[in-house]
Amino acid sequence: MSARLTAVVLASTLALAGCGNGSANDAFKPLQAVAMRLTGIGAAAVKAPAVKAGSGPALTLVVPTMGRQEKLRLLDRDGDVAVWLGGDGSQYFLRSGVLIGTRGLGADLMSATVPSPSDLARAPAEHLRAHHYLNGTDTSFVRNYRCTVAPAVEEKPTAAYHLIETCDSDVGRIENQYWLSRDLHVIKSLQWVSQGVGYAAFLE
Amino acid sequence: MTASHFQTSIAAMIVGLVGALMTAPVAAEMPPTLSFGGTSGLIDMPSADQQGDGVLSVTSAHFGPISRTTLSFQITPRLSGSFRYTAIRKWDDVLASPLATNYDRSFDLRYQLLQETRLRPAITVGFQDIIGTGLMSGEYIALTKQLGKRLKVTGGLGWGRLGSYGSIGAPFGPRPTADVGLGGRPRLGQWFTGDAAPFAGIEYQLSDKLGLKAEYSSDAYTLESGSRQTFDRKSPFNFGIEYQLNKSIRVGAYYLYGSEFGLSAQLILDPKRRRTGGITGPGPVPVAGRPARGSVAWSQDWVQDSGATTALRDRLQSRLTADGVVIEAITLTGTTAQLRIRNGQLDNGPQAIGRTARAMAAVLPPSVETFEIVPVSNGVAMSRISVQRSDLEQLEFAGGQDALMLQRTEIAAISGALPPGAVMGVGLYPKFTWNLGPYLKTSLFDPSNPLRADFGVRATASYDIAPGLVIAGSISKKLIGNLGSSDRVSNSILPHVRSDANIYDAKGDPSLDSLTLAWYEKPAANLYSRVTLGYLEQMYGGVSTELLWKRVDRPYAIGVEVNYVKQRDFDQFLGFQDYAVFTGHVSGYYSFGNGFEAQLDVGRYLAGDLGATVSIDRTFANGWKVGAFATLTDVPFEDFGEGSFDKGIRIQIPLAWANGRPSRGNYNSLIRPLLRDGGARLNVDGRLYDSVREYHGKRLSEEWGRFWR
Repeated sequence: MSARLTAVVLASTLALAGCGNGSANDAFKPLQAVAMRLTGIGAAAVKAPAVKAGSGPALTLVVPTMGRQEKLRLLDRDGDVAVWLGGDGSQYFLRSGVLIGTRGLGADLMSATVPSPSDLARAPAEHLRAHHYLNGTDTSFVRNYRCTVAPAVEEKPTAAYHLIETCDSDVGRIENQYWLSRDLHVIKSLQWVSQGVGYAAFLE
Repeated sequence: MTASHFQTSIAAMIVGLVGALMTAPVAAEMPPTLSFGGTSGLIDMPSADQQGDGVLSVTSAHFGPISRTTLSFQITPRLSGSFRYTAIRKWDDVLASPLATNYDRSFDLRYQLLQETRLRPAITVGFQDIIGTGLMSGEYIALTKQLGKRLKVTGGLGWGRLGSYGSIGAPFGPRPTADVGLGGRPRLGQWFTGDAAPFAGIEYQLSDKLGLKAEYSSDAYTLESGSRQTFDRKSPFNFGIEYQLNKSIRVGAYYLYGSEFGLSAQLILDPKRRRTGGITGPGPVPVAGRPARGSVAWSQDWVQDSGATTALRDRLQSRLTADGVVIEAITLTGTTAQLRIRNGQLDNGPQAIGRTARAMAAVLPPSVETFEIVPVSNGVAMSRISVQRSDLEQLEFAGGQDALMLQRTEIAAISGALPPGAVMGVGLYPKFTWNLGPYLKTSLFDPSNPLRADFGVRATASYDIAPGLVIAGSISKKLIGNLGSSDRVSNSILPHVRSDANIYDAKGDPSLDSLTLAWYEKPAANLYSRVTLGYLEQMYGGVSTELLWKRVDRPYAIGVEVNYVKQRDFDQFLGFQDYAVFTGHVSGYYSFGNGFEAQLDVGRYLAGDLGATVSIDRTFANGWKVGAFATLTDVPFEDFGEGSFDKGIRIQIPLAWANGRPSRGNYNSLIRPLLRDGGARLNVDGRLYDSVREYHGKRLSEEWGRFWR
């Protein structure tokens, strides 16, 4: 078989992948997956979101390490917890503005025990924080932090409180920052998600 | 400040902050690298380093006439095993040989006796080529110590092959000549005997990516550079430079033995590390709240509505489709809903259960408090997972929610029969599905060719007649490949139950891979059964029956399989050859709880031989599996032929691990040094244990972290 013919045959066979009315053809997926694993190409794509939010209030998200900046839509509100939805179906759970979970970022924060804004405003009290994650085998583990809060030294003092929550764990230190209004509402924040994601900023 | 200004400045601040906080400290430990032999080591010499626990590596290293490809697995933090395929070219240059290239397979084990501390080096003992024909055989003790942040020093003493240059004498007496015979047997009597010779080397880390290596080798290459003169070993010193391309790949260039250039590539796969950090894909539907208890919405009057069940089923199905969950049947009372589901997409059972529970909370009337989710595989119910709706509501945003939810979830046995009043899913029976796509079939490390493969087109179809009853078939047409090009004639004195594989590959084009009628059933709460009839696999057709006993809450199971099969014609269409056999096994399965699983099969094999197979697998909660098996039967080693008995290594890598997207596909590889006729088993689809185990207590608990994903 000539090289040209071989190439045509290969290309048309690849085009056949997934033909049929059954579930997607898995026969060729291992190759694709290994190629993706090695090259990193194609891994970022995710399916269309399974859930949709209506129009309404928006929150701006910035995740520097992932090069992500977008307006989130409010998907659900349950008591003091708001669920925000990203364009790719990722989700961000904020309890009174304090991050308690993410979904769809890869290295997600699965759940967390965190202080409330009024706890934070009672600086410099010490408090505990617990972050729950999944490791690479999907086994859950907890990272415990011991934290203190201090007001940031502002060059130009603003109307808002600017607080820095410094938390230490066995594996290092994280620093969350919050800008609170006078009624202790979080206007903007910079909060740690996970080792794989780093910090995320939320701006009203 | 305008909004966009504000965002830009905060983004800049974030980047600065992240930079300050995320700068990784200089790694205190230099990463363990791999040698030409594919074990942790220097260039041609081993070191005392170990890879990370669970790491699977592939090394391909070449210098002069010698190429080695090695698969290594870090079985436990201290124990590792390697399977190596060596090719020595120019084998017949000066001495007559039927082989221009000598291919050899070898297996190593190594154990780290002492781990490195601040003052003490790590000490590892290694056994090279322990059960092969002994071409590579040697033993060593290696000491490795990191000095400072960039330098690692190794010294050791080798025996056998590794004691062949610069010997200091034979401390434990002369090395007895071993009767290697057909290989496959450990040569215990030789260990640490004969000449011993020291070896040493250093690794220096120039930067995060670049490393230098230099060593003094104690391998004289007596055969390769001596009697066979395949290359000229002028010096014991080797030098190399290695570059870390990314976290998985490292490449190197070398100058060896004063005469040859060399190249190597090292591929590291760590089951515990996903490139995407975790599974990607959209988040779940939030758990819907309910109106206050006692309000009119809590009335159970809806149960009286004759159309309620089908209407709710359809609404549930439309929510579950995105996650690949198919409703097999639904049963509703005023307070309890039982949903039998097929999970066709998510690689993780608890995630499929969690998503189903969320859909139920979104759709079902407030009076329904108990959600019974019953995963169904091949039409058979596997277990009943009972979730309280109020727990879902309470724990949706709770810290440590997965452990709390597991405590409150009941995982119980279930009978196969549907409860009264059950309504089936839509369009499931009968149902015809088909698929057309490419396939790739490989044969790795064949005795005369390291890689054979066929690439072609495969059509598959199945017809679901009723729950548990399915007709399925597959036809393949090769486009290109060399699987059938092997003209090796089987010299087996046993019935040729497997050793004619190359004739099947050559003549079966196109081939009917399989065409079966299968019946899966659950005769009792803890019993599962299978009957498969037809063209079962490439080489056999007939009937295969299986019965498995497994309790939902126990880590063990017992199974019996009885088959009567006839050997198929080489062209793999409808005809049969004369050979027919009763074959079957009694199997015991045990899950140790630390990721290790054992299986023992005792019975009669395809050639009519009696014996047992032992398999040990290390499994990870994300679906990774690496294992080995060995079969001993009443076929004497001489009759079995090369290799003495059947053995191999199997690897399963979930696609969801590789690309981060939910999928139930796996990459499976089975590496058998030699496929002979003794200890051969039937390959039939749908064996029960793996599918049953997936939805039983132990496995579900291990994977439970993704319930809330």
